[in-house]
Formats: sequence, C-alpha cells, structure tokens
Amino acid sequence: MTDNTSQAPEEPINNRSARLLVARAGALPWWAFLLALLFVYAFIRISTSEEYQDILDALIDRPSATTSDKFDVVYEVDTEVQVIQEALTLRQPDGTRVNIDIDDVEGREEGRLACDRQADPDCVDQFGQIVTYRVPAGDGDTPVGTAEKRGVLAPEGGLFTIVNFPNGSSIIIDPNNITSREEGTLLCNHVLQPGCQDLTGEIVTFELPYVLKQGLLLREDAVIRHPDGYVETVRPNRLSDVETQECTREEIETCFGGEYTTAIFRERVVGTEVTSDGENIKVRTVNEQTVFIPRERIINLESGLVECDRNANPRCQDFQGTIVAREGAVTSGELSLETNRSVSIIPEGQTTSVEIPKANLIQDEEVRSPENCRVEDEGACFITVKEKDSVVAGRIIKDTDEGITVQTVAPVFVELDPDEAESTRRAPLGCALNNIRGCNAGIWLTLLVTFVAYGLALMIGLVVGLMRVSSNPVIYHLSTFYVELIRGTPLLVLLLFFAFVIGPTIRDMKPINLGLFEFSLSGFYAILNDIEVAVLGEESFLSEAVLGLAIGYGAFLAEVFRAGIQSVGRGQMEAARSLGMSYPQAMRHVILPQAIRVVLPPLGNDFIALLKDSALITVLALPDLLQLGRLYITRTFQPIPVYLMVSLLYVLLTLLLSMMVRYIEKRFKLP
Amino acid sequence: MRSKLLKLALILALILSVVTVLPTVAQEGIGTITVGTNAEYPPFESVDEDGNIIGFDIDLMNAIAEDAGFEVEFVNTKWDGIFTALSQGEFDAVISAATITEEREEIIDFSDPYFNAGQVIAVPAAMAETVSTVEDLVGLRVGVQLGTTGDEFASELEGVEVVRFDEITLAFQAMGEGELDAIVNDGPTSADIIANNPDLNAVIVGEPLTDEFYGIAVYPERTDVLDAVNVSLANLIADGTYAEIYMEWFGVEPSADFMPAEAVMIEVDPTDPGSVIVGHIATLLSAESPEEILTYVCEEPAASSIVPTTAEELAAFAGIDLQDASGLTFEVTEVEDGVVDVVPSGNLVLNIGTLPASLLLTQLGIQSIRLVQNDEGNWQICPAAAE
Amino acid sequence: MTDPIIMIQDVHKFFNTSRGKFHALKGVSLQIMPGEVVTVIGPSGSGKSTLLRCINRLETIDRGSITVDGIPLSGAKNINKVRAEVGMVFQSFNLFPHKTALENLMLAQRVVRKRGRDEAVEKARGLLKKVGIHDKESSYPSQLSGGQQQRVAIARALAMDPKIMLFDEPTSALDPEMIKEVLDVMLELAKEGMTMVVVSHEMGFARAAADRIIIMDEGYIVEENVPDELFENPKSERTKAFLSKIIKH
Repeated sequence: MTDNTSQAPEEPINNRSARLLVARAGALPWWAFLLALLFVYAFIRISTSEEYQDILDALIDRPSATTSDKFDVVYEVDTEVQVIQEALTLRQPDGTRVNIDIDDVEGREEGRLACDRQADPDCVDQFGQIVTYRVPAGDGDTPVGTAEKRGVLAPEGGLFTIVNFPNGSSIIIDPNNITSREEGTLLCNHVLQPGCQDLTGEIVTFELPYVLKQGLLLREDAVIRHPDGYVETVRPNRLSDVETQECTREEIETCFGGEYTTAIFRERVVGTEVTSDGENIKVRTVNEQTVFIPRERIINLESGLVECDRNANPRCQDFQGTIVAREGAVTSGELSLETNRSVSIIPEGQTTSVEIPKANLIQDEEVRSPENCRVEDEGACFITVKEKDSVVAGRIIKDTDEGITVQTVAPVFVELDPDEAESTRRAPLGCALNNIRGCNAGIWLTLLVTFVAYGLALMIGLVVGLMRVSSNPVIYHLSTFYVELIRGTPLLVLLLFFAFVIGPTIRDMKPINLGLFEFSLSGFYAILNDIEVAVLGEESFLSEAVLGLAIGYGAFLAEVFRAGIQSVGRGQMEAARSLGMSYPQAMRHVILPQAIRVVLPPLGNDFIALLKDSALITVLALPDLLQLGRLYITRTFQPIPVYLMVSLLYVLLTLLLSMMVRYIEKRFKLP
Repeated sequence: MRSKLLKLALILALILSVVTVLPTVAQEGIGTITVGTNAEYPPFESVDEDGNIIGFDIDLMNAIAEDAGFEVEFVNTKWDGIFTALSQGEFDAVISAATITEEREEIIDFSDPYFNAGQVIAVPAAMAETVSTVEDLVGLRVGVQLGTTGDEFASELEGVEVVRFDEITLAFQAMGEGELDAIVNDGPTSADIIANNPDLNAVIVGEPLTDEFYGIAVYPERTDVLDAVNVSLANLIADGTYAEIYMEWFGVEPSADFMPAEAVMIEVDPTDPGSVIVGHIATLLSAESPEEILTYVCEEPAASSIVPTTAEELAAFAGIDLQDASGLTFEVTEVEDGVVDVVPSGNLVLNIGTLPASLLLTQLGIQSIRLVQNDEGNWQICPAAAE
Repeated sequence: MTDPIIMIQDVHKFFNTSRGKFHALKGVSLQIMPGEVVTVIGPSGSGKSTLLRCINRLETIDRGSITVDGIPLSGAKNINKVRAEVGMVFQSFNLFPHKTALENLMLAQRVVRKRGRDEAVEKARGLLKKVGIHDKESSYPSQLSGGQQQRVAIARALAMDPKIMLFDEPTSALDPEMIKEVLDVMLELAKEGMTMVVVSHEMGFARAAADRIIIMDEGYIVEENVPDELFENPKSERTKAFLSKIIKH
C-alpha cells in the first residue's frame, strides 16, 4: 500500500520483453524445439519446390484471391432450329447395323429381338427398344403395304424404270406404281451435302411396296441447323413442337425436298458462369487459349486468314488475324525420362520436368553430355534440344518488349435471360475469397465436416449423457442402448450404414400423419439435401457422412459427459436442491458448469480424434483432404511427396486444434 | 564276358538318361512370380465363397504361366496404388483389368493387349431412354472408381459432377439407391455386376465410349517375364486357348483380334458363279470398313476359259443380268502367271432384286476382280481385297 | 396456541444395503414449534442426520408422515417450494466452487426467488456482513478458510429467507480455532428467533441456545428434554452412557 522507495529503476522495454521471451522459450519442453525445426524445414522445402507447391495447391482446392469463375453450370434454353434429318441406328438380328430415316419407322416398343439362330446358333437375344421399319420389298417378298415416295424419273431408264432421289440414291420401281407425275425440281440437301445438284425433271409420286423389318435401337440422332448456320447432331428427345411446312428455295435458302421443318430445341449451354447480375446471366462456354512468344523467337509476323480451332469451339468462324512463325524453343537440362514418343527434361534452375514430344524436335540439334547418354546411365545425363519452328495463329492481344501474347482461341460468352433459362447444374467452381462456396473440397471439406459433426456430437453427447444419469429407467436404458450399440460399431461401418441403409429408407418413407401435422422424416431428409446444395452447391453424401460421424462420436461424448457429471460431488446437488432449485436448474447452474472443467480435456481429445477420423468420409466419395491426395497420386504416380504433404497438413490442423482446446481450458480454469 | 557287356550297356544307358535329363534340370527358368490383382472386379477377378481368387484374368494368367513354364502366386491388393507398388518391385506383375495408358507406361511395362474393353455408361433402367450418349451425361451425377480410366474420362467432361468411389460396387449400389444418375466404367465389369444384381435394375446404354486395351503390367526390371508373357499370350491366341477361356467367362467368342487367324470363306454355289459377286456384295454391304474384307479362298468351278475384258463378257462370266454397262471400263493386268487382275471403273447397272441399281464397284471396295486360272486352265473369279 | 412448524409422526426409514435392509429410523415422532431451537445428538449411526435430511426430503420416508409448515412432504407436488423455505447447512459446506461468495448467495435468490440482480446483491452483501466476511465477497471458496466457508454457507441458506434452518454437524469438519466463529453466527441466529434444528456434538451450543435437546440412538428417540434437565437428570440409561462419553472434562 505504501510506495516502496527502494524500487529498482524501470527496465527498458526491449530488454524486458527479450527476457520474457527467453524465459518463455526456456520453459518449453525439448520436443517443442524438434517440432519447430521440423516445421521450419518443411516450410523451406515447400516454398522452394514447385512440386510441393503444386501438391499443396491441389490439397487446399487451388484457392485464389478472387475469381470470376464462380459456377460450373449447365443451362437449358429453348431456341428455334431447323430440323434437317432424323435418323436411327439399329442393330439387326444378325448383328449388323443399319441406318434408317425416321420416316421409315412403323413403330417401336420395348421388347426382345430374337437373333438369327440359323445363322449363328450361339447368338444371344437382345433386349431394348425394338423398332419396326419399312424396307422396300424385294423379289420373293410379300409386301405388307405401300409407302408413298417422291423422286425424279431418270431419263432413258432402258428396260427398267429408275427413280433418282435428291440424296443421290436411286431405285428401280415398277412403273405401275406411279400415281402422279409433274415437271419440276426437287431440291437437294445443301446443308448436309453442300454443292449437291438439285434434280430437275419429271417428278413422280409412286407407291413403294415394303416389308417390315425389326432392329434394336442403338441411337437416334437428329441433324439440326441453328439460325447462325451452325449444324449439329442432337438427340431428338430435346426437340419439341416439330412443324413442317412447304417451301421453295427462293423463300428459304435451306429449303430442300420442298419441305422446311422447324422445332424448338432445348439447347444446353455448358460452361462457367461469369456474372449474373439478375439482369443477364453470362456464361463462358469456350475458354481462352493464349500462347506467349518471346520477342527473340519471332521469325515472321504477317496478317492472314486464321483457321479457327474447331476442336475447341465447333461454332467458330475463320477470321483475319496474325500468323506468327516462331523459332523452336531451346530447352536445356537434365534428362529425366525418355520414351518412344517424348523426352522429359528438368530445365536448369527448376525442379519439375517438362515433357516434349520427339516429333517436335529437330534431331540434328540435339546435344547430350556425356555423349549418347541415356536416363539409365550412371550419373546425370544432360541434354539440350531444339524444337522445330512452328506457327502460331490468332489475334495479338498483348505486345510488350518481352514478347507478344497471341490468343489462339477466343473465349465465347453466351448471354442468357434468367427468366427463360433453366439451370440443371450450378455448382460452385473456383475456390477464392470472393467465392467461398467454391472452397468445398480438400482441407476445407475436412474442416467443415469436423466442426459440424463435432458440434452435433456435442449436443447429442450432452443430451445422452444426461439421460445416462437419469433415475427414470426408460430414459436410462434407452440411452444405454444407444451408447453400447454405437460404440460397438466401427465408424466406417456406421458411415456406410447411414449412406446406404438409413438414408434411402428415410427418403422413401411416407409421411406419418400425427393428426395436427404431418411428421415427415423424408421431408427432413429433403431439408438436409437443400442444406447440402446451399453449402456445397450440389448434392452428395455429405449429410450422411456428417450425421454418421456425429452419431458415432456422440456415443463416446455421452460417456465423457456422464463421467464429468458424476465427478461433481453429491453434496453439490444436495446443496442446490436444498436451496429450492429444481433438477434442471441445479444441472444448469451448479453441476454442468463444474462438469465442464472436467470434461474439457477428453472433449478436446475426441475433437482431434474426429479430425483424423474424418478421413473416412472418402469411402462415401466425398472429396476431402485424403481423397484429393489419392486422386493426385493416381494422376501423377508420386506417392511420397503427396502423402508427406497430407500427413503434414493433418498434423498442422491437429496442432492448431489442440492449441485452441488448451486456450479454452485456460479460460474455464478456476482460480 | 556277358556280364561285362551288360554292365557297359547299363552304364551307357544310365549316362544317356542322365544326359538327356540334365539339360532340363540345368535349364534356368523364371520360377515363381508374384502377381498382384485387385480381386474386386468380376468377372476379371474376384473372390469366391471359399476365399479363392477366381476370374478371367486369373485363368488367363495361369494359362500363360503354364505355356511359358513358370509358376504364379496371386496377391490380392487394393487398386489404388497398385501401379506404384509394381513400379517399386513389390510384385513381378499385375493383372487386374488394367487399361494400357501412357502415364502408366512411364513407370511400368505393359504386355501386348489381351482384352479390348471400352468404357460404357450404365444407368437405372428408368433413365435408359433419356441417357445414352456422352452428351446426355451433362448436368448429371456420374459415379466412377477413383483412379481408373473411367475416372479420367468422366473428369474431362464439362458440366458433369464426378463422384469418385473406392470400389465400383459401392457406386452401383449408390445408383440403385438413386444417389447417382449414371456410372462410367469398363463394359465387361459393369455388365457382370448388372447381371448378378437384378435388383439394381440398371442397364448399359449406348455404344462403348472408348477403345481400351487391357495389358498385363510387369515390373520393368523383369524383362524376362515380359517377354515370356508376350510370347505365351500370342501362342494362346493362336491355338485357340484364349478363345476357350474367353468363351467360358463371357459366353461369346472374342473379337477377331483375339481369334486364331483364319481365312474367311465365301460360300459359292457351284452352279451359279454369279452368286460370287452377289454374295460378295452382300457381305460387303454389311461390312463396316474395307479392313473387314479379308482374303478369300476361291471355290470351284471355273466359269470361263477366257478372261473377260468387256462388261458383257464379265456379265456372262459371272452370270449377271446386265442392264447398262455403258459406264463401265476395264483394265486387265497380269499379276503373275495364271493370275490376272481385272480393274473395272465406272457405273454398272445390275438387276439384282431391288437393291439400289446404280453401283460404283469402287464404292463396294472392289478395286479389282482377280481371276485365277485353275488346274484345268479355266479362269475363276475371285474378287480381290481392297487395298 | 400455534401449530408446530415441523411435525414428524411415526417415521420409519429403511436403507437398502448389500447386507439387506437397514432400519435407520424406527418410528420417530417429534414436533417442533416455530422459533424453537432443537439440537439432536447421539452416536454415529443413530439416524440423526437421516432424520434431519428427511425434513427437507433429501431422504424419503417409508412409513409415517412429516409435515413442514403445514405441508405434508410425501404428497408435496412442488417440493422445491418447500425446500426454499427450509435452509440447510452441510458438514462439508458444499459451496459452489465456481462462484464467488457473493455469487453463491445470489444464485438461488435469482433462480428460485426470481429476484432482480440489484436486490439479490444487496441482500447478499448484507448477509455477508452479518456473518462477518463482507470483505471476502469476491473470493472463491477455495480461497477461504473452513470457518469462512461455513459462514458463507449459512449466509447462503439465509439468503432465501427461510422459515426453518437445518444444520447437519456444521462444525464437525472445522479446525477447533474456527468452530467459535461459526457457533457465534448460529447463536445470533437463534437469538433472532429462527426455527433451527441442529445435529451437532457441540454441547456448549446446545446448553447456550437450545430450547430442547433430543437424544437419538439406533433409530429411536431415546430422550428429549430441556438442556439443563437433561444434563442434570438424564432419565434413560443410554442417555447417561452417552453423556458420560461426550461431556468434556
């Protein structure tokens, strides 16, 4: 209370903090230094190795600061198209295939196509959609009917009457079957066969006798033409409102056969949703591709017609752009792999290899040191290769001193009206700060599942733990049953059980009518699915995994809580009750707060155990940290660095979590 | 005296017998090799009720081993990581319905292909109408087995949600529960799973999406095993053993690549030589590519003693009812003594029922008609194969 | 003529032990008037603590009846309400270790009596002052001596403004030097007219404050009388024997 006049002078701040730091460090156990060294080493290795960085990137779902690639989407929009042709591919009983036009189809039904046992006694009947179609009757066939056809009479048919069709085929007919004749022109299909010849002459309509044959439907295709001229083959089930009208070539350029057929096509727009501001949805359907050419490797630059890359964008148009001839790149480094088709070289100063197809290399310019060395030789084999000169064509989008960037494939954006477009898929894509929902795999999924499952497990554990100390026999035995049953079931089995037994059963359950309201477990299941979609952007086994883990760990936590409650002396309950508090009040204000301090260490333990057990969700096809690691390995065959990285991340998470738990314990400590 | 001779004879016999036996004893062999397999993939490999590993791959490998003269010890292991293990020598070989891919070839060696499978799409029966091609998968949840070529294939599709399972059987179960819309997986295994689990109510739709060849993967250091496997595999295919094993597990004959090579005969009616062309045409119309036209064996009898050089002669020779040969020209070249090629070009209008009457012979893959002189000096007609 | 505030009639209590049923109370009858201070003494196992704990139904009885403040305990619908009127002080204090002395006093006031915070604090402070430890109001029980803890315990019970206070060997766990401070508080309480039932060995307190002393042995009430009479002229042999053992020389 009184000032101590002989107080030591104030220490300078720096000295004091330094001393404190040293004191703290000195208090650390010896293994802490080892761990710290390990982490420092790991950190250095990772930050200097491209390979490890790539692995780390993959495991944390390749995050970026911002991304405009927010969603991986499939939209369906109705557009009007012209139907050019509809054809079916059938398999005949003898195993061969035949293409027929939809006009020749008589009927279809599900069934069995008996195969030709005479031709092949070992053949197998086939099941599927059986299509009955018309085939012109041949000699010796008894026609079952006639179909009306139109064609142009071939001149000078000789003894036989030959009719030509606009599609280039011809047929011999019986002239008695001709029902009408007129002069005219039949337009050929300029769309499918550009440059074909229209047929002018005597157009005859005739009856063609036919027989019926059957075949198994393999596929059905319709050829459609978009208003912009793009022709593609699609499934007929995406066409609706098919209408045919008569036309002439003057009215409609693409008229052929005298008919023009339109339909509404349910077009799919597949790509990355770039923006959606309520007004319009903009989807990038084709990604940009660019090539950077250093200035010193430019041989020649000239404008010209660039043939666009139809593989990347089937609807592209050739355009006026720049054609750049560039000198082949020179790559120097250690030869790491050589196959018949390619060489892999680790360039100087880098740690990962580049693969170069041998077809691109100039043989004479290859230099190996030591001479003619191979990968298998003792010691490193250094190689310098030069690629052939090549041509890059596109548009120059960037021109700097260092070089030029040529855009070889331009991005294609499609704008959709949100009212008219229907989304069949809209899953978060890039993981970024402005697209957190995209961070739904790898380490993020592991953390999400761990925290949510543990939160649920805590609630379940507390309730069941309280039940376990109840004097009510029903409650007590019910809770004991749960604990014993679940603790005895391996967690993996539990997860599979939830996903494949409980999940489907609940989903298919009919709602139970309880008089006032309908109790619907399946409705609850539907809500869970909605949550999945809201959180992850798509349905998956996530809710089953989380529930399985929560219920599995809930049993363990229940026992922890029970022990904690029972560890609080009886006198405490007696004192509280004797003051007039009810059982719930006594629990809440007196017993549980004391029990918490006891249960915190084992709860923290179980939390960390759950983090590691979360790796089990990979069996439910969930892309957690472990599964992304395994996937990376199957693509690159590099198990060692990947598993090192995975383990390191799990250890890091565990350490962080245990630090968090320790902090909480301190906060709750009694003086 | 006699006993001495007898003794000598006996010793000689002994030496002879030892000498003949010696080479076989002293011969170095491959011995026993360990072969890894993931026995969860019927009908290629699976475990039966008694715990034995059975399957097409197993029988084939045993047959190869028998032919090559080594022993096999099978090890059941997890699929994921099997190639890495092989590349480190944990097995000598792996036979496990493994597709030959470039990435895998970089770390292990593959034998010649022993099976042609393709990825197929399997869907619940109710969806068979709307889904049958790759494009139909857009927007759907597609199940695959982690790390397989089906996984790679599906991962490259745009707009598709790929769900990766450890075991493909789990994926099928999930599809049966309605959790998946489709599965992309190897055809034979999918067919087997579907056939053995009717309550899944699944079907395979459409055509195989890819052409995939299975190979036996071998530890790169064991070139002796690789060579032996390739030789024996070829032997088994040539003598029909492969076809037998295939028939046992799949119920049908394997494709031509895996059948003993044989010439395809064309039935010819001796009284109607024209049927050669007709029969040939019928076959050709059903052929899918010129490559399917194999060499023919010509049949008796001769139809003419002269080489036809005009359309009329050809028609008479072949017994064809010619309508209009004005568009047809011939070029006759002698290939060797007794063999000439007659190369027609142009249009030939034939009356053969109601088949499209205007034929370009080249359209049918006939680039020349080979005439061969038989022993009696008569010419018989053998359509030559397309080049 | 006022009614007894506690009426115990022919109470039997059995305990189930591994050796069978133990008859702890064998037909005990007792009446306590408001404002009375009754001390119950006897050897261990006599049932005195059991009897006390039956009064606020911490133990249930198997036969007989107990009526507290006119409310029969057996059928009581809301025993908590009865307990609020009956304060209890335990041998092992049973303070709430996670709360300060002040908070210990406040908890039941707020949760059971539903008093507001300020009102509870004021009352708590007043009581702590009364028992002489108002300077320790922010201390946790682990920071207090035994005597201090027990005084807080008494104050805690008093905070509920009970009509009856039950003491179960309040000083038996205390070091001798701290016994006095607790007894002083109890004496003060008795002077103020609180109805008290005290199970204790402290003869000094009994002689000074008790209106009546009850001797129990083996589940029976052996003798009851005013202190002076009891000590001078014990009637029963057992009383004599007992007294001779516990009277300090």
